[in-house]
Amino acid sequence: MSDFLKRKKICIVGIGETELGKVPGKSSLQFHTEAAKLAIEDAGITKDDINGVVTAFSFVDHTFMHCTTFAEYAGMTPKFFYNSIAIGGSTAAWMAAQAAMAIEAGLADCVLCVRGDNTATGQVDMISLIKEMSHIELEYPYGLMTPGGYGLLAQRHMHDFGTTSEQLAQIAVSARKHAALMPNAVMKKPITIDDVVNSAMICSPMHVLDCCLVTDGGGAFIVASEEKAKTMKNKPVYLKGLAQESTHQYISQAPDVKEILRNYRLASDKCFNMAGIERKDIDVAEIYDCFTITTLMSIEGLGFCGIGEGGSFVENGNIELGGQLPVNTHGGLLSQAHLGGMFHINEAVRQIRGTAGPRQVPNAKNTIVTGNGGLFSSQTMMILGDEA
Amino acid sequence: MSANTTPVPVPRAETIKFWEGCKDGEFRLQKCDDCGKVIFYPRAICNQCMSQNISWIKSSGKGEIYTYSIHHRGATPAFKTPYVVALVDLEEGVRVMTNIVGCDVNDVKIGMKVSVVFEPLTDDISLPKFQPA
Repeated sequence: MSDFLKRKKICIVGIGETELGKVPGKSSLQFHTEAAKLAIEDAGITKDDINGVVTAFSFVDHTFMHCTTFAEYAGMTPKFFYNSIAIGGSTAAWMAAQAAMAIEAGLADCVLCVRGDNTATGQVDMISLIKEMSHIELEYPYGLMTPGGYGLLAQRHMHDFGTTSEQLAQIAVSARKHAALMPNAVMKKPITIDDVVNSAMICSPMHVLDCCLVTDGGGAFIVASEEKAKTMKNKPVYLKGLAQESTHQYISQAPDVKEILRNYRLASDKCFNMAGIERKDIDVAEIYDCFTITTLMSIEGLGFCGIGEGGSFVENGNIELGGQLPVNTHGGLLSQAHLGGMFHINEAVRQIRGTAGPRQVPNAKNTIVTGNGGLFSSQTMMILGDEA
Repeated sequence: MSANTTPVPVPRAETIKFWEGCKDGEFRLQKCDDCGKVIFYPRAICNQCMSQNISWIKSSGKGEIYTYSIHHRGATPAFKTPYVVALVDLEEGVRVMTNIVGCDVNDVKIGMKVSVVFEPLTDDISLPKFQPA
């Protein structure tokens, strides 16, 4: 079990997120830079304090050396940089991990993690993404869509465990309720379970309201050593545990749904062991939600309930503010905005700082953030807390 | 690929013999000569023991549906909705992606027994699909 976060204490010290939704007229690099500026201002530092940079990627602007392209645009000359962590929606949490590893190794002490894209209004066909996530000869020709990949998982989860569309819908309903309390959320109009299950079927059993948004915007956070963090103005939010796990890339190669969940559970055990806390110590969870089934399976994989029990776990407000485990208090990808999970981290930071306003979980001390990439192909998770 | 045409697989080194089989009406799998693992999709190396001694075998073409999703939005205009994308467990113990054809999309069920049919896309490429057995 790695103890590097005990040996070297590492914190998130700044967060930023730009205007979100359909924001025409801005490039991917502009969103990156605006988000970076906001995070630098939030941390109370200048860009000259940044000595490491981690970027993800752009769906719109395919840049060969993305990180140095961004750094040059923003006027930064980092001494540590990690180019284009590209594990889909599991990227954001792993940007933090990569920053932490660089800080532990002594390569940098203040690392900017930034992502931005004009996915909604840029010239990009999100549908064609499936071409890059599926086997080009033996999956893509069958017309698999991204919601269909998750539909395959959801249909089998229903078969194995009796999970219902109404239970999945509850996840979208709860996310929307939270988004109504989030100033920077795209979709705030309340929805009901009936609204979700009566919305257009895209790829069974995934309705359109089971699917995430497609958004323009930028998000950033800054990771620093505890020594550096103590010179800054914000309450440090400590990295406590990290884990990463993969069972497959292509959905046809995935093990049985039950086996996927058992593997997820093993990874989450490692994450909790590293953090030195138990599941009951988590006050709020920011769980990746590209589709409702993603959140449901992740809740099971994280061990907040047994495998197959996610359907009943999410019912009756249990994952809402005031419930047993508030999930995605910012509205998530389903209702706030989609930038690959950057905002799950930002909301986790606000919750630990105690600055989440009407969405604040009282005395939140520990939170878990997850990411999920491809078709349940890459899982990342990170526990954050008010002490190391 | 134009948006209005069905994607046609372009065989690569590992898959040439698979697509030759489809053209001849055979669903081919690989089997490791050293550890016996049946392998799909086609690879140059056994994904269990890393042996490079791999032979081609003919699948019975029979299996059952592990899961499916009825697509009401087509990946491209060439896909006429609704259509079924499914994962089928073949008798030889491997799982493959396919379309279920030859029945109403609403009749597709998990556990349904299915068998392979080949749909010619070009003179050289036939795409294996499955229908109720």
